[in-house]
Amino acid sequence: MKKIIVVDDDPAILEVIKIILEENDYDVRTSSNSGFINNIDNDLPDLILLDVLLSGEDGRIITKKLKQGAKTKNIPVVMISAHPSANTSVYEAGADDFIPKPFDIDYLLEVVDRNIASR
Amino acid sequence: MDNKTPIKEKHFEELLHYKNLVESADSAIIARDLNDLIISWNKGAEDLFGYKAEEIVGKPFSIIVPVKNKNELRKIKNLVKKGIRIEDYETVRVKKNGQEVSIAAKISPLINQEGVVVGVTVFDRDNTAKKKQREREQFLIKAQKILSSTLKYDLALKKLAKLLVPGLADWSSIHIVDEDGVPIQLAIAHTDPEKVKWAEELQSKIKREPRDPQNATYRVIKSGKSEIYPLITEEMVRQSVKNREDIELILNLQLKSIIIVPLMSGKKVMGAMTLVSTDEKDLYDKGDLFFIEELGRMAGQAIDNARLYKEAKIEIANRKRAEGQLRDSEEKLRTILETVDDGITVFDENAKVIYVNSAVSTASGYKSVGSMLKKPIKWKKTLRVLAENDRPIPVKELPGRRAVYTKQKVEKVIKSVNKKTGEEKWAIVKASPIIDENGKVTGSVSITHDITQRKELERRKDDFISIASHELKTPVTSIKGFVHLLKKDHEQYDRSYKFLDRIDKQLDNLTELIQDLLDISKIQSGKLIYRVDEFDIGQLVEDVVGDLRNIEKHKIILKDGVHKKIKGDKERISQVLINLINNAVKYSPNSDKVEVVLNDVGRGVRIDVRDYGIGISSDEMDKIFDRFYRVKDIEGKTFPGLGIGLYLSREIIQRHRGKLWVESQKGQGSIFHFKLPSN
Repeated sequence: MKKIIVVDDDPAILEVIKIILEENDYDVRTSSNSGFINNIDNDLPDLILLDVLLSGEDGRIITKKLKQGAKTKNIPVVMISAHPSANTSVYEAGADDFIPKPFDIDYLLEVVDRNIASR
Repeated sequence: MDNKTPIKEKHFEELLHYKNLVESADSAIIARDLNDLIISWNKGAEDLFGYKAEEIVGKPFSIIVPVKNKNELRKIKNLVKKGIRIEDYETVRVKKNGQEVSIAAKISPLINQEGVVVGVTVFDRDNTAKKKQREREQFLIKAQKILSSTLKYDLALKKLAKLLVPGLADWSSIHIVDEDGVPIQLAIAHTDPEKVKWAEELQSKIKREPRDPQNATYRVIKSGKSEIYPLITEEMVRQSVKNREDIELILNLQLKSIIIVPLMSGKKVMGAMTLVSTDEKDLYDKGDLFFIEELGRMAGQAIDNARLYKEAKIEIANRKRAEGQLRDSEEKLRTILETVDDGITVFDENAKVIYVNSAVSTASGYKSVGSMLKKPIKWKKTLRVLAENDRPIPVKELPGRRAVYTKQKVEKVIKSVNKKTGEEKWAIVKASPIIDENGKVTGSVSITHDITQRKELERRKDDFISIASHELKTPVTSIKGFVHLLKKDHEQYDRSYKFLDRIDKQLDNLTELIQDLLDISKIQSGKLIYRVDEFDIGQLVEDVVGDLRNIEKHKIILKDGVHKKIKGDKERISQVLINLINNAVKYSPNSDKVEVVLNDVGRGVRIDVRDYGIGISSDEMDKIFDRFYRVKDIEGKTFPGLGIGLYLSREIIQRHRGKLWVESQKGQGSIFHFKLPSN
């Protein structure tokens, strides 16, 4: 089973994404902040879904860190945001894809599948 | 020696060696004895005094001496007795007709053969003319003194009129000319105060018709020429005056001789002076006229001088007042300019700064207005001036100078950044050229209004909307996710599935509204970002129409299609087309179709979206593109929406150097067009 880490500061979003992905046979772990990064090296996911604006944190900075980490730099990072204009800046930060909020389930799954496949 | 011995005429004649000479002399030669009895009286004496020798010889000399001068005789006798001669003794004697006559006398002692003074010989010359001459000279001096004593010429003229009486006239009056050329009596003097009344009555009659040519004063003033009436008889009065009352009045005044002279200053007539004699023995002659004319010139010049002085004084006073008022209004203006918060800069025709108020100098970092005027662009060292798009603006391009160069009003929003502190300030600068009556630009006035606070509020509002839309989208995202999950649990024909589908659509609408709100705030702040790509506009129209093929009961029909590449933000142009189609559906509730046409128009494409709905009245035609404006239907009901779709659409099209407009009539449906350039 492919492992996905979902990071969002909104619990409802975390919950619904977790259900959607689990129903589609992904192993999902969730986090509401950048704390997940601490022991990521021991258990590398196949994809990270990362919200741009977290409480007190900027997802783009987390992306940059991941893309600089020797072990994490090849993990696809898909960023999610309610700010449609954020899409330019997420690519600049090194994200592999972008999903604007709100999104359709099908579109979410399509993007996730595509990015895991292209790895 | 016996002084009292009478001297016979015969004896006297013997004493004179040249009797013939005596007889033929022009001068009066009179001899009298020490008892003052006349012993000799020549032809000259007869002529001068009017007495014949035969009637006066042997009579006392005092006959021809006026009573007031009686004392003279003794004084003269005392001197003569001592053998003293008296030269040029001026005095007055009385003629036979009672008239006084001025004389100059040479008085010598009459000495007999024994050397004894036995009498007095007198050579009298008529001195009237000479005396008169001297008197006149003195009079002129006095008159000049009076006239130059004051600039109140009316007072001076009154004094002059008095001076004329009684020496030169029994009655004198002085008129001056007013602005309309009408004579106005200023002064009148009369030897007999009773007569002044009559004179004034006559004057008041004349006043009624000041321009009557019968009025001699008016004639003199009009012509500038003197008039003299040496002798006026009752007959003359009766002949020349028509009104019987006037005749009586004039006769009462006993006018005998009149001189009227103009008061001249150069060629200007300032007034007239009238001298009247009521004494038949004192009639005016040519000599008098010349003298009075001279006096008239003196008075005329005095009046003119006084008036000029007065005018000059008024002029000076006016100028002072005007200067004062100018100073006052300048002061007011200065206060206003210094009180306003807006910066005011004035440029000359070379776009050089000639005035700034302290708002400008302070905002530009100067200590004072004066220091800014000395070095008007020194601020460049501390401030960077940028346009709204953050590009630097050269000094030449700032509105105040542009207005001078372009002769047009110029308006610009600028941002100034302090190079040291980084402080940012926003201002709207409006400049107008100053154009003179010949259409030449003589400078400009530039007003700088600080909008930093407004910009700050706008920024906060934008931030707020941005955060709000983000916050609103977050729950929508999870709701949408859950709805999708639930939909999977139901079959499509299931009632629950249909309801969930409705919820899903409504969530899309909600998302769109939130997105519009965000967009509009971005447009306002100029932060709407366009991603420019080259794409096929025909394909875009087909895709959009295909997606929207059916909305409720409406059919969206693509009538024609062309394929053409254009450059622009595909998403935004789709947004415009979707917006126009949605509007077309929304505002045609009683119709069932919307037509979309894509036209090739040479240098670009034109897209028409046509509906058969409620239409737009002409007065609403422009307003529909305003922010938050919403069209009402015939019953005054509005349609759902925020009233920002068309505003946004027009902004987007204009950003693509295109044009968005509408053709419509109330009740006849509408066609919205937008044109986009191809490349």
